[in-house]
Amino acid sequence: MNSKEDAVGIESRRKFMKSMALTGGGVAVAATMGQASAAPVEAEAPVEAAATGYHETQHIRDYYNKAQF
Amino acid sequence: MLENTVETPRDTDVDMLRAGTWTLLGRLLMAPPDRELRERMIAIGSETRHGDAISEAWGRLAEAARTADDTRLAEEYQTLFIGVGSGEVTPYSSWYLDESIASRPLVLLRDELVRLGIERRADSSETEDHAGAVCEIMGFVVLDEDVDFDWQKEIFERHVDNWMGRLFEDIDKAPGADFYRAVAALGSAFLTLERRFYAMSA
Repeated sequence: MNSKEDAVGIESRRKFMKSMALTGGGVAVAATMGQASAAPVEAEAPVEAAATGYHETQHIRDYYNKAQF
Repeated sequence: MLENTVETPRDTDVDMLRAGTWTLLGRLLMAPPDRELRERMIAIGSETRHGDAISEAWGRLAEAARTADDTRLAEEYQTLFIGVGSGEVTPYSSWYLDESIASRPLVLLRDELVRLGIERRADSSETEDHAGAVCEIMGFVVLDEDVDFDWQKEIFERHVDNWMGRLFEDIDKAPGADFYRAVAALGSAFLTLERRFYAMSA
């Protein structure tokens, strides 16, 4: 597989994962506060604009990218 | 109560990917995937990068979805998980941590869920310590800005990492497993990734 195909495959996984995060599971449990009262997020929100609740560092992001997530 | 749409605060790219993976694992452990979900899994592609466990697991899952069908999946799920003591595996933290059903690990998890503002759905037939529910919980936790990193790490260590790896090993070894071996492979690879994530972020 060449690098272009590799990148396409990784991107499709990432889109799929983000869609799963947004649609949620909700089969067994449900949030009653916290997220439930927060504003919706756009699926493709830029990382730079994101607010994090913990240590967000470039090396963590790099790690996940390197792991072909 | 939330139904099937999760509203979240703004989160990082990494958090979305992590939450999505937890949610997918939760969905697959709660019930066999329907055709629509299988088609979405197939669409992620089966290409694998040699030596990369998570990439190989994605490829394996896509391939497993490609060859699965509703009837066989329903039978496999029934064989593996249905019926306490009668399935090939018992996917509850109480079982793995306490060798019993609905015991102290469930009580501790419920205490945590009260603090998190997460509750069992009224129409759910499973207790909160079912592996699928625990994965769903992690999906919520990762995206909840009220849960700081240290708390998130504690939840992972107290309610997930101390047993779920063994569950995935048992699924992989179960005689009736086929599609779910691919799910177990993804779960194992993802747990490893999450473990390193929390260690690296400390």
